[in-house]
Amino acid sequence: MHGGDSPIALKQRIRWMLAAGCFAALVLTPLDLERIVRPFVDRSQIQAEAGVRMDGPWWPDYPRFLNAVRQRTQPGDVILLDFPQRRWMGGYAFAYYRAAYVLTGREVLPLIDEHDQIVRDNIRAARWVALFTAQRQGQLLRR
Amino acid sequence: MAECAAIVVITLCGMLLARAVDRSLHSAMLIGLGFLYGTGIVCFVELAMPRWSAVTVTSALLLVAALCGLRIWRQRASSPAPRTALAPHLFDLLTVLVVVSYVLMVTAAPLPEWDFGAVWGLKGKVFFEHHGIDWHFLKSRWNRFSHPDYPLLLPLNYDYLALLRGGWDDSRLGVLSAAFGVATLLIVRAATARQTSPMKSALITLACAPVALAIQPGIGESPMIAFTAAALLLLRDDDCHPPILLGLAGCSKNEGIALIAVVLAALLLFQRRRVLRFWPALAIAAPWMAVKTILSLKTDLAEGSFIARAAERAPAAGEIAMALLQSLADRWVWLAIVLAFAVATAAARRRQRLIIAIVLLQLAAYFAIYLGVPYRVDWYIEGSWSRLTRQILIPALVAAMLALAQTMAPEEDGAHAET
Repeated sequence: MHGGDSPIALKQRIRWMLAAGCFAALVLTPLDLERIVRPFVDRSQIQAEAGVRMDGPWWPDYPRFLNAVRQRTQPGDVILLDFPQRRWMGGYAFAYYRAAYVLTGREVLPLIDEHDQIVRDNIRAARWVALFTAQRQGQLLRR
Repeated sequence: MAECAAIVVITLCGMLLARAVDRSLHSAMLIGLGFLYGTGIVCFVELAMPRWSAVTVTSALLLVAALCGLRIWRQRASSPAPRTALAPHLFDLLTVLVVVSYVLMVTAAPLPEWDFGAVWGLKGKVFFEHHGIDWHFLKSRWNRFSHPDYPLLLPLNYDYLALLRGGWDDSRLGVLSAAFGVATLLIVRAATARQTSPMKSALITLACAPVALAIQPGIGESPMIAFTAAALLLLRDDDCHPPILLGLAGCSKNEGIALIAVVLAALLLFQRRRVLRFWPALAIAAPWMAVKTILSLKTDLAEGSFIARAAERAPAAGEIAMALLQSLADRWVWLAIVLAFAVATAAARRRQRLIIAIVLLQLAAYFAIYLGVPYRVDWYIEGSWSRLTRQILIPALVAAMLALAQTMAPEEDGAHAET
């Protein structure tokens, strides 16, 4: 500050400094240094986290099972999914969505609906049953 | 890498279209808009074709490109485009570093986002294996979780990448999210360079990089952030590109339709004469709206009576607003944006008032939608609020930083554009 500054010049100077401070804050605040540096030093950790993020506690057995089901079935096959968690919002839905992605080309049908009721029409329509157990074992049964 | 080749083809086709509608485009703005327009061309070409292969889709893209080239050639004699170069700045290297880091991250593993596997990637993969849009899949009641009503621009672009590769590889598709981010940053850099110094323009672009390069790669946010940012940043004095970009936002996510309505409302408030010039936004978004109406692909928001639910929740509006405030992502950035507008001069604020109004109206639209959601509001807030606010963060961030730049150096305003 200069002793000879008029009140208006002083106000402008303060506004300039506040503006510069805000500008610097807006440049720096969105930047996440850890996130920027990480891919350069540790890509293997990113790979491991990706699997866990998609399949949660069932990784890596559940995606491995689904890939095996894909290998053994043909496009157009109708597959019923049986999963240890038999509540739609209690884990079944996620298992079903995941199966739908890995088994594209086949028609994947859920064993239960959104109200946790067994869907008998789906049992009748399926040619295959993909059964994944609580012990993380998978079986593909032909009907 | 086949995906990079696909992105180059998309960008070149789009650049020809962008140049056909605006001969003054050049350098960063041309490349950025070129990629965004190219994704729109891919979307409409694949929507129109009943069966795809790498050859047929690429041929159709080249045909569109040739038609655009013909139009450019016919116009060559009239009003030659002014040539101005975008001067790079040392700070641009930091932005490049952030981009490289992002590309390494999104190609390290298959895209891990749930919404990629359950919505965007799932539809792309189903269509790829079907060699065209699988309408049976979209209409099946067991696939409602995949939101069949969502616009298809992103899945259809995944399909073009997969077609050129000759297979579906979800550890490579993240480059499309990176490409949307890079296109956004090129447009931010070029648009801000017209209004402030090269150093400040480079710093604004750096600030936008973590938002443009979407935190959740692979899902609809990447194109939505890109189209929203590009449309709003060019909105102040351009009637050519924003309507097209808004229409493409409507082809990317349902929020894009809300954005079109909000922009039209803001124009009605501040610049009524421009409203009619925005008809392309509606024309571009209309085909998918028509398709989903004909096929009855309903959004979950439309289940039951939206208005009745909103009226029922109206007394709890204060609590919902508080929940939104408490769950706000990037809250320090938003706080800094509010402070920036408080510090900026009245003239600088006035210059950004259209963007400020649109951002506030869009936030209000989101709030109204939360009032009428069919299930628990806290569930929707947890799942979507951070993504929705990031869609409009770049225009707010750029507007705030330009207001500060003008406050610090009023003489830079506009006339200081890079030459």
